[in-house]
Order: sequence, then structure tokens, then C-alpha cells
Amino acid sequence: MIRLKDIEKYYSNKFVKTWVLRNIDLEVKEGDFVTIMGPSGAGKSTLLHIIGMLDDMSGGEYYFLDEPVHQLPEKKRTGFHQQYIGFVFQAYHLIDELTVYENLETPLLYKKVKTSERKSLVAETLDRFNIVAKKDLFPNQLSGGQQQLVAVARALIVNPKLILADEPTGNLNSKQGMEIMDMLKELNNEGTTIIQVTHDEKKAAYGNRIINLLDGYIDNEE
Amino acid sequence: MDIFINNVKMTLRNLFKHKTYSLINIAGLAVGFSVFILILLYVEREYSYDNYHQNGDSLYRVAVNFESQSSQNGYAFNVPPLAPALKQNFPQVKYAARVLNFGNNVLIKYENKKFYESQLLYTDPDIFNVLTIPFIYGTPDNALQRPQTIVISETMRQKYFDNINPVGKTINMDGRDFEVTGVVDDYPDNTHLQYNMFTSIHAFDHMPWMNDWTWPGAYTYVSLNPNVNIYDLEQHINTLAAERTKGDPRARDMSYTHFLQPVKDIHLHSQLNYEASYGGNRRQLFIFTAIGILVLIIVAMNFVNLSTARGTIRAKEVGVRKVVGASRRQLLVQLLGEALSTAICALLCAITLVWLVLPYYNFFISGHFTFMDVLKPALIFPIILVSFTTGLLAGSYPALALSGYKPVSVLRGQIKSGPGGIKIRRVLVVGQFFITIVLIVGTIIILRQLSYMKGKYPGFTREQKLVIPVQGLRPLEHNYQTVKSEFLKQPGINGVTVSSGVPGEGVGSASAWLAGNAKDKKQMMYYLFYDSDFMTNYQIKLVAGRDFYKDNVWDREHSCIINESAARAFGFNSPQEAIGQKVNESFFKSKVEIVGVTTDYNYRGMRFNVDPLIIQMKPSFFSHITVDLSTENVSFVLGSIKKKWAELFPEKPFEYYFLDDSFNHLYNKEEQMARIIGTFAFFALFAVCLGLLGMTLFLTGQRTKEIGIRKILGSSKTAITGLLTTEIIKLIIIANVLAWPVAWYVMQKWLQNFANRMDLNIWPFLLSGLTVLAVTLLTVSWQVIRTARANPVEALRYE
Repeated sequence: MIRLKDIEKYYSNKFVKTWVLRNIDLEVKEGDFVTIMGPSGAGKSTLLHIIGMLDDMSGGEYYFLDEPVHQLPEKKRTGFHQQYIGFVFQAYHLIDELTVYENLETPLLYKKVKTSERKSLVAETLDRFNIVAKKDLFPNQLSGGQQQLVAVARALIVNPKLILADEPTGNLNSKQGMEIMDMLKELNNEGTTIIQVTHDEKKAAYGNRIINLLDGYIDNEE
Repeated sequence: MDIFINNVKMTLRNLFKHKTYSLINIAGLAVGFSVFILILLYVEREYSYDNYHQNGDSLYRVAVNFESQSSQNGYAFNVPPLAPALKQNFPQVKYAARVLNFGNNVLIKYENKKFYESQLLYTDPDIFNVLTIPFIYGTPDNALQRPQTIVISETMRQKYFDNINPVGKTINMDGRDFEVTGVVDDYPDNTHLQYNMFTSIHAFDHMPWMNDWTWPGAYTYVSLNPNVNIYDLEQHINTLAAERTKGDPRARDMSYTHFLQPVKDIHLHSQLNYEASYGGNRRQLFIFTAIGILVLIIVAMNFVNLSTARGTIRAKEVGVRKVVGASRRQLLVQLLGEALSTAICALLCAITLVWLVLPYYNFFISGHFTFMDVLKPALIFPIILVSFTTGLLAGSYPALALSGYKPVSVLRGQIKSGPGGIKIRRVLVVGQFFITIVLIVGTIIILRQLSYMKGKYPGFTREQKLVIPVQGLRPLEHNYQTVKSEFLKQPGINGVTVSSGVPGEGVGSASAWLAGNAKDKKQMMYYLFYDSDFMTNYQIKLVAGRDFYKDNVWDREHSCIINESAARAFGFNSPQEAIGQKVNESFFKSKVEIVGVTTDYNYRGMRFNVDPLIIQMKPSFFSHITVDLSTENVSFVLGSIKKKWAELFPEKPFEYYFLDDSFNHLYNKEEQMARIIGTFAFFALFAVCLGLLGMTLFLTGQRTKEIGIRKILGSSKTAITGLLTTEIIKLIIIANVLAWPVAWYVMQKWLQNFANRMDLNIWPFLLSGLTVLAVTLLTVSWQVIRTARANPVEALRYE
């Protein structure tokens, strides 16, 4: 599903090149649950963002479902987002001005899903995540765990093939964290590919592969 | 559609969630839009003059240029025999009509009602075929066909006849009976030819001047058939006129060039002698339009500034939207939609604001605008178009910038204020200050120039002078001595004098030349007529010779006084040389001797140069009485004058004014302009401050953390206040440096219009700069001080 060949990423600042990622070769198959680990500044999030096409790479080749992403125009990439990829962030990143219902609805609107289908999809998702009662609340009326639940639900609503989760439990207490991880595991069991970034060994254990990053290189894979 | 609804919801929630921001944004735009609407009202009215006539494109006024070897004069009037000749000789001319307006008031009586009325026009019946003047009663074809008939305006009808149809009734005008044959609509605000009554010009058929091809005295309007070549027609008219004036001694050495002016263009484009009404001022229109656009630019800049400043917050939302799959186009639609919604809200506020201030605006510019004028298609469509465009243009920069960010950099919090953001904001703020300073400098200089003109000694005294204009033909010719002596008997009166006009009004012009000199030394002269007490009462100084002798018959017929300019124009090296010389004057075609030379006092007002003037003592021209009041108890003296007036002129109502007032009224146009520019400068400054307030609120909010850290490191409140305000002070200084030369250049040009002008010095510039600085600092200080005093722990807690 994902093939990275010799990916590199650096920031140039006048005379100095700061390397973030170097020589990254990675293959992720459908149904994988990959965990990227490593100390702060190792380049974990950057790698995740490149995989999610939120960030450009400085060099190398990236094939997503055998399409060469490094050669695609922005419009096509937006298409990939809409169709295949869902994101979950540490800071939830819900839209504050929209209710839970509307937050869930937004990706479908951009995907131009028909009204009737959209309504049933949102209702289904609310039901599945057990947040029907919260549908008219705004994000700031929810606890952190609930917000992350909505964020996961929003990532899932377009039925993505791939979920990218950047420290999804970083802002949550351990009970809430476990619930979210269980949710991700369940999705993985249903066939969704998941790539997560985390510091936490316990959370890492949910995945079937662990990639350790160190100073921009892949240090080892367990 | 669903996205649209979603966007609308989002917009509204954003609007209410960030109330201060929305309020500032909308208020700023609304102020700009209202200024624009008010200016558009005025400009549209000026351009709409005489646009309403049917077949407007085929209507022209025939004007004439009189040219002699030494002078050239364009007249709005033309010679009376022209119109009939045009109709007779040229098939291109469908209708031709003359309009005579002597400018005097007539006494109208009907039953027990009796008033003086102005704007009586003597016309050919065809005038109703040329200009569109709708009839309420009667028909244009029958009106004015018979002698002693009159057509009156609706206002006149209501005044004299209440609610009845007056056609067939008889009214009395200056002692003669006239039959009312029609009632027409009142003249609209936007016509150059104002009227109250029409009567037939044929009443004058027996007068020799009705056939005089050298005396311009009647406006001549024509309606042409389609596809007439104007240039050819002018040539033909000039050929005809040349034929008719051939051999006429009065036309010797003169050439007459007739030309056609589209009736629509008269108000703004024609500035001939004896225009029917005060023409519009195209330069003033240009200035107003420029101000309107500048204020729009200022508020658009505000909008851009606030939006980009707040972009950091919006960026997160935009980033999230991108992550969940929004394309750039979809985001652009959302962001531009928000800008447009803000513009719509602002427009609605602006229209309400205009509705509220319209009465004051009317008072300010002496206009008659109604709220319905704002809503008519010619205005509301441009207004909507301009406000939407402003909203979209102003919204497009922040929208493009926001939608262009890479989502990852936004979500990581790497965008503080956008790389180009700060620079652009600085440029825009400098631009706003620049415009504001130029406007304020302009206002101050106009006001100073006005007070300079009012304060400068015009060469005569104008205090405590009561002026009584006397209506009618040769109103004082036979009784002026009686009037003077009767008035002088009243207590509290220091002097009485009679004249053809008082300073600031009532000069005539004609040519004159030195006797014995070749005729090529003909000079255009201004003419005034006054008695032997005028110069004493007005304290006008003689530089050579003497005043007229009191009631001296010889002086009446054979003497004149000129001013220094005239002496120079005649070629005398000193005023003394002029004394005893003879002058041919063309008013009475007589030869008069120069007995005195006066200083160049400002008989036309301070705006103008003092041109050559020739003064004679001709009682037939006396039409103004000037009474010199002693200062105490003016109202008592007025009462006694009024009583005396009623005895002397039982038929005429008593009218009066003070010279001081009327002389200053000469600057009404300038005062109006200063008021308008000043008001709009105030609005501009208000809008700029509103924008700055928003920016400060936002930016200090953003720097809370930085300020918290600085305070923990030991920075004082003063230092922090300084930190927050130096930037803005720097920008104001830059704006001043840029604005001063521009303002100086523009105002220097404007001052060229005045013969008497003040010297430009640094003060108006310093004053404007300091005003802007002070107002700005006041605006931002509250928020800055609040931020500087905030507890640093509070600021850092949430990090």
C-alpha cells in the first residue's frame, strides 16, 4: 500500500541544512498496524505528515497504492485525502465553531456525499462511537477523551483505508487513552491500516510492527 | 448547497463568537460605505443635471463669444433675433426658443395675497417643446399664445390659489393683469434653468433690442432634428450672424462666434458670463470622488489588516479542514463568502447610517436629498456593486494566503503571523495614515485660507453696514436724495449712501478706451455706479484727484473715478497722470473725465484679483442703499428704518442684510468644501483608529506570552508600553514624511485659485501629524496599558 524509497527531508536556513529525515525506506502493507517510535526530534511526526501528504519531502520516492505521490499535483493529493486517509492528532483539532454532528459531517461535505447518504453515515457513526447524545454539543463542551473520540470518528467517517494517528492519546489520561487504543485496534482488526506515532511502549504494543527513528534515520524495526 | 449552508452557519457563529472583531470589522467597513454613499449621492446629482429632458441628446443652448482686439467674452445669453432666424433659415432646427430673465423681482397680487416673486421668465411658447416642463393644468400648445398670459409653477399655484385649478383666473403682476393659462411642475433640483413663472417674450416685440444682433440678452435653446452635424450648423449660424451684423456700427471691430452647448453639459461644463444658475464644479466633484475612493481604500485596508492579523487563528481551522479533505477551491469559496457576508452586513449598517445622517448631510452641503434617492437604481446598484467588490477584493488577500498555507505547518503552530503578513500590514497602516494626514492637512489649509480672506483688510470697512436692496426698474433714480435725507434723520445712523452694488456683488462690465487713443487700446472694465457719499462711508481711499462733488450734475454726466489698476491698464505711469484725461465709456457711449483714482480695494471679494474699475455717478443705476449704523441698539435702529421704509415705499416689502455676512457668504462654496473634506477626514481617521484598535487588541493578545516572559525577566511597565507603541509611532512618522510633500503640492495648487492667498507654512502639517499621533495613541493606549499591567503568571499559565 505504501512504499517509501530513500525519502529525505531537510530545512535550509541560509547556509545550514537541517536534516529531519534521511534514507527512509519503508513498506506498509494493507492491514498493518505500524507504530513509529523515537525520542523527541527524531522526525516521527514529519514522517507521518509526509505519508499523509500534508508535507512535502525533499527527496526520494513515495508510492501510495502504486501512484507516485512525489509527482502528483495538489489537486490529486486532495483527492487521496478525501478517499483514503483519515487523521487523528494529539490536539484533536476539531473545528471549535462546529457541533459534533457538523464536525463529523464536514469531510463528507467536502467529498460531496449526497444528503441522504451523509445523514445516515453520520447517524451510524454517532451510534457506533456512542456519542449520539453529544451530537449538538460544541467541542469545548466535551472532555478531552470525548473530543478525541469525535476526532477518531471524524477520521473514520469517510471509511479510509489508512488512519494516521499522531500521538492520539498524548493529551488523555490513561483510561481514556486505553479506550482510544482499543478503538484503533478494533478498526485494525476490521481491516483498516493504521500508522501511529507514540512515545509510550504500552501503546506501541497495540501495533504489529514498531519502527524506531533516531536522528532522522530508521534505527531498527522490531 | 449543503456546504453553502454549512458555510453560512460557520460565518454566523464566527461573527458572534468574536464579537469585538466582527464589530470593528463591520463598523469600519460601514463607515467607509456610508461615506461612499453620501459622496455618490452628491456626485450623481451633479451629473444628472438636465438629464431628464425628452430627446435630451438633441437639445442645445446657443451661446456666443464676443471678441474684440483686446478682450474676449463668452456669454450664456445670445442675441434676441437669433432664435426666430434659426427656425426660419435652418431646417435642421426643429424648435428654437428664447428665455429672458431680468433677474428682478415682480410684485404678484391675487385677491388679498401679495408677494414679491422671482424667476419670471419671458419665453417663446416653443420653450415647452424644447425643454421638458410637464403641465398639470392647461396645455403647452395654448399657453403663452396670446398676450398677457402667464404659466405658473405648482408652488405658486398653492401659494395663491390653494387647491383650485387656476386656469382662466387673472392675477396682477406689477400693476398689469395676466390670465393664468397653465400650471407646470416645479423645477427639479437638477436643472440649470430655474423658473417660477413663464410669460410671453412677445411683450417686448416693440423694443429695439429685440432686433439687435449685437446685444446678448436672451438664452437661446434649440431642439434639433436627428443626425444634424453640429459643426456645420455652427458654421451656418456664424455666416448668418455675420450677414446680419454687417455694417452695424455697434459691431465694428467685434467678432461674434456662436456655438452650441448640449443642455446636459451646461451645469458642469459651461462657465460663461450670465449663466442661468451657479454651475457645478468639476474639480470639486473630482476631489469628492477621490475622497470617497480613498476612504473605501482605507476601510478595505482595515479589513485586510484585521483578517491577516487574525489569520493565525483561522489558520488552524483552515488546516483542519484541509486535513479532512477540503480542496483549496472549497476553502476559497468559504473564506470569500465570509468576506462577502461581512460586506453585506456592513452595507446594511451603512444604509441605516446614511438614513440617520442624511438630514445633517443635507444641512451641511445645502442639498435636498431624500432616503429614496439612495434606493433608486442609478445609485443602489453601483453601491451594491462597489461594496461587494470592496469586500471581495479585501477578502481575497487573506483568503488566498490562508488557503495557501500547508496544513502541516499550521497544525504544528509554525505560522505566527504569516511571513508576508507583518510587512504588508505595515505598508497598509502607513497607507491609511498617509491618506488621513493628507485629508486633515487639506481641511486645515482650506479653513486657514478662508479665515485669511475674511480677516484681510479689503480696502474698505465692512462693519456695521446695513444693505437694503431695492427692487424694480431704476428704483432710486428720482428719489434717492429724499431717501438719504429721511434715513439720516433717524437716530443711530451715521451715514447713508446709494450705489449700483455693494462690495462682493453687482458689478457690470463693458469696454472703455482713452479718448484720442487708437481704438486698439480698448479695455474691458468693470463698472460701478455710486454717489458722492459712498467712498466716505466705506472709507475707500483716493490716491489721486477728488471724490464726486455732492449732487453735482456736471459730475453725473461728465466725470468718472477709476481705480489704480485701471490707471495702469490705460498706460499711465502714476495715478496723478490720469487726472483730467478723457475716457470713452461704452455703457452710455459718452466721454467722461477722470477726476479721481482710488486704491485697488476688493470690490469683488478676496478670491479675485482687483481688475480695472470705472465708477460713475448715475442715479438710474442706483439700486442698493447702504446704511452706516452706530453700534448701540441695532434692533431699535432697524425698527425705525423699517418704519421709514414703509412710508417711502408703501408698495415694496423691506429686505435687508449686513454686508459683513454677505461678503463672507462669497466663500460659501469653500466653506462647504472644507466642511465636507473635514467630515470625511474625521471619518477616515475614525476608520483607521477602529482598525488599529482591532489590530492592537489582537496583536497584544498574541504577544501576551512574550510580554509575560519579559516581565518575569524584570521588564518594567513603562518599557513594555514603549515596546508596544514604538512600532505604531514609527509608522506614523513614516506616513507623515510621505504625506507632507504630497499635501503641500496639492494644497499649493488649490491656493492658486485665490488672488489673495496665505503663505503655506509648517503648522498645518505639524498639527495634522500630531493630531493623528495623539488620536492613535489614545486609541491603542488602553489596551496596551492593560496588557503591560497584566499579571505575567496569568499569561503563561496556559502554555
